[in-house]
Amino acid sequence: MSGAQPTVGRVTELVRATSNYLRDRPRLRLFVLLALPVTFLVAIFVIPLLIMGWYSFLSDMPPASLTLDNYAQALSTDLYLGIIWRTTVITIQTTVIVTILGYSMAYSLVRFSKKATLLLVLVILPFWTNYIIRMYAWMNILQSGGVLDTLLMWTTITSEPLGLLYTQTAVLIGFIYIWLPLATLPFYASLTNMDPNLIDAAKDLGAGPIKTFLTVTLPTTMNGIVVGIILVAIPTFGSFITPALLGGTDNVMIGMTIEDQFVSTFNWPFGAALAVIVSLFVVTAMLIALLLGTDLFKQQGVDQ
Amino acid sequence: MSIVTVENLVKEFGELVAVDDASFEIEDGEFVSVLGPSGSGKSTILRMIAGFEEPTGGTIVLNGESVVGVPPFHRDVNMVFQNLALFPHLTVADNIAYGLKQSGVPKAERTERIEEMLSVVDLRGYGDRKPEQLSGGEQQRVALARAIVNEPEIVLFDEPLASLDRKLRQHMQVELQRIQAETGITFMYVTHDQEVAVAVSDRMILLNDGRIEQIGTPEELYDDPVSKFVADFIGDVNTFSGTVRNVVDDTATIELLGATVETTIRASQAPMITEGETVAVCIRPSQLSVANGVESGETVEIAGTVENRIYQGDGVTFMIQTDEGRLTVEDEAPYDIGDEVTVTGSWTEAYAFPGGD
Amino acid sequence: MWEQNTVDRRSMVKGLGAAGLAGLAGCLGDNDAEYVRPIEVESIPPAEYEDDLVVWNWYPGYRDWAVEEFTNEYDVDVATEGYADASEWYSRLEAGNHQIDNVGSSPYWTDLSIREGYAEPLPVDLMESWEALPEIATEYVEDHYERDGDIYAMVQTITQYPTLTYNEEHFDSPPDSWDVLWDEGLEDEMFMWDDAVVACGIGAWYTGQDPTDPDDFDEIQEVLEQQEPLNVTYWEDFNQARGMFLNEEVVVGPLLDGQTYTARFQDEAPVNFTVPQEGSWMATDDLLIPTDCPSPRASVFFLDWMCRPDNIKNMLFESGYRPPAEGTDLDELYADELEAGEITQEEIDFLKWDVEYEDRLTFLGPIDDDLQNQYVEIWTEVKA
Repeated sequence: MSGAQPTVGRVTELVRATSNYLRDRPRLRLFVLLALPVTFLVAIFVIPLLIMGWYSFLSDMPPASLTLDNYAQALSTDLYLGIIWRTTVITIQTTVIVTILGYSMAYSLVRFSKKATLLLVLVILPFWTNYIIRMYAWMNILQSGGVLDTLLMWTTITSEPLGLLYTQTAVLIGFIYIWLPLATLPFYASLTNMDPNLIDAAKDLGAGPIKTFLTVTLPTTMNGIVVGIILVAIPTFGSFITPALLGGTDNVMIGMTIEDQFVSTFNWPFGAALAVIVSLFVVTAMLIALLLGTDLFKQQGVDQ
Repeated sequence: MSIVTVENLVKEFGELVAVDDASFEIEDGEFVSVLGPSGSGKSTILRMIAGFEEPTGGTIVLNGESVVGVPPFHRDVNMVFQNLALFPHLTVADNIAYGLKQSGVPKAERTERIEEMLSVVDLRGYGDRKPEQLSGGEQQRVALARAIVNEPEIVLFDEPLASLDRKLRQHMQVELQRIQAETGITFMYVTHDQEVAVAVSDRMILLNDGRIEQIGTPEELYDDPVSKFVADFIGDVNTFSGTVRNVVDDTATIELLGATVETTIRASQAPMITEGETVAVCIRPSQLSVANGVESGETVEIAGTVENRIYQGDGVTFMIQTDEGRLTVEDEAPYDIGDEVTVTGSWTEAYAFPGGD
Repeated sequence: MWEQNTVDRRSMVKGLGAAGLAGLAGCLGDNDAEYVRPIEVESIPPAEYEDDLVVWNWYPGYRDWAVEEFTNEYDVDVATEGYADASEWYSRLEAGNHQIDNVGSSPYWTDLSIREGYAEPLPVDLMESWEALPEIATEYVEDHYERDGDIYAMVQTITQYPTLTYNEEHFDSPPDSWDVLWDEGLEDEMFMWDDAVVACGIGAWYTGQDPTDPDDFDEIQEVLEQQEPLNVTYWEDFNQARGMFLNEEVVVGPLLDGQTYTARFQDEAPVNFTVPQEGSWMATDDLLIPTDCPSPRASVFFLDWMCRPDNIKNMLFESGYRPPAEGTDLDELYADELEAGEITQEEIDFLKWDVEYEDRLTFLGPIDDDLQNQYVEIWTEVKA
């Protein structure tokens, strides 16, 4: 014990000296502060991305020579571009539906519900269950003569089983179900941040409910909407489990194709080239959508 | 001609009675303040006139037509919100244009009226800016312009100046009066700040606990308050407890601090002031004087010590600690903190209200 | 020189694992931890072997059973790992293995690992399990996993793959040809396996080609495109496939013998399988000892032990797969269990390969990269 005190004293002194030293040197301090997060970002995001980029120019698994063949192969047929296009279509469908549903849900939570927190917890609850298990549950619900069909036929809404499983509709339902909570949260956050007086102000100035929604509520919560859309669109574009389990024979998405290259054929260079093409496509599409849709980058603090 | 007629207005939120049987009229072109402490129901009255709340009982007639049940977007009323509620995603010009667009004013006319309005509120050249790029005072002007550009029957203000510093607030008060005079639009202004209300209003409606205490010009409320609450709220008063000894015509003899004084009873108070009644005697600081610690020969003398002195433009306000509590006195006398003094009053100007201290 | 380096690195790694950083200095000069290659052991069980083991295997049922039994009997501390895909362990071998002692593989990955020098040769002459392998399996291993007289992999199971699995109640006589998957009368009552090699292989058999060396890829793609609309779906997951048979969403489609066994005897679905006359494959699941593994002697002991007939027969009970044994041997192998009522004669008979199928089945060895890429591209085109 007697030896501990001086040590503690010395450590405290050292800490104090260091912090004084840094305080007088703002650039060094900035460097020290940023070192950890920057290192983390580089290690987790930048380096893997660079490795993937490097792989995409290899002729075979490393060690191998550099080549553009992978890109040539990917772009020379309309096979992969066709799959990317199809993936784009279902991504847009999913995003539009999830955005509308999620926004309506968040809107009613904010405007009409006294138990918003409880309902929000219910919205997030499915996240506690494994993704694959939830997909299996949907297979049970959607299969011919499954839960949905039984319900529809029991209530005499339909007379024959629909058998939605293994169709594009099933894939869409799966996506909507999976991403809805993820989109609802940013929508909810932006709606609670919005000043409710703005709605009164619009009504006061003669705008009816729909006009108010379109000209005030929607634009002032645009940041949240954009975040929600990005959170839905990007994972939908890359997904391969949902379409594999719920989709039929003609629901291939680009994520499944890339997975095949990495897993079945062990053709990482070609898979990496496809992934690079897809990443560039998604980033470009998102940037264009952002520039057209909002002035997110120009305008900070819209929420206030 | 009356623009707004409110009769027996009641608003209940569950158990709470926010507005209790309020009736008043507002004339065309008037600048009326609705004054009261927070929670007195003033904002609720405003929101009912705007249409954001529906009354539990009573009627609101706007320009000859009842508006009970009419949604806000169909009322010819505009509001300046407490936090202004400018649309953050729109430019100043688009904020001002919002109401005009809703009522289908063509673009050319809109542009013209926006320009006109920007010059009325002294914001020429600010049309393309976003609200967040403006100062607090400039934002106030935009909010005002957004309301009056629609030329409504009445503009409602929900304490929009509360967040400004004193100097800016005083400046905006003058601006409000100027703009109201220029446009001739009826203003109804809600505030808890009697100074603002007194400064800007033609008439004031003073609320207390959901009920209207008194309606009148600032002078009427100051000179002829109907209750101790009004007297206390509009300007300062010093209050003493007394007992009525005698009432002759409009003069009451009241036993006060071991002596008797005579005060003039206001017509409105007369029926309530009867012999033997305990009353609150309220006297304005200007009606009290400070004298040296020697006996003045007045019937009521209160000994005390100068606790504080505050110079104002036209005199000195003394805080004097006495056995009757701390008194506020306005005088020109040359006393310093710590001086032993005697306070006397011209009691005929004091008010007596039923109910004691 | 290289050998010497390996030894030093090995003892150091082992020291790190056993005693942590504190023991580092002491372990550097420790000769007890010498790396004895599995092929160098003089007996099984080896005279000395390490007391811990890391086992990667994708049959979790049998893996866990074997590990528990082995630990109880020989006091070796075993850690296990599972994986969905062999690339998970292969990438670790690529990065320089110092962790995995024993891994379950498949022909493509076995072949790749041997070629890249990631697999240790095995002392098969000492292995009781090797002795017990049926001839068909030893021949296969000698054909594919032998280099300079050394054997580099052991067989854990032999699968018939793909089988033509069908609902017995739906067919009067068992379908005997891949043609049935092109039967329009069975539209929306069949599925295809979402696996490029299997699907293209079936396409090749259907068009009379050799699936490991086809000469008309376009024709394979064409027939698979014809076949596509007849399916309920392309499946990727065994549970999903068995479930669809059980729910009678499909009545016929490609599967595995082991999965058909599970569907029939555990799920109690009315299913059986045939090997069509055009042909099908057998495929092994293999066991490897990666080079530079931490516990080579314990690993070779465990490998031999888990493949001995008396142990490997539990593959059936724990994982639903047939052990690698000749048809008639199965009666002998399961005689005790039959008596104990743990298995029925019907089950044992189900496991015996039909004599007439033996001519139809060929081993699918490690598949050539170019062919694999071709098949994946065709399959992608079909799905797109």
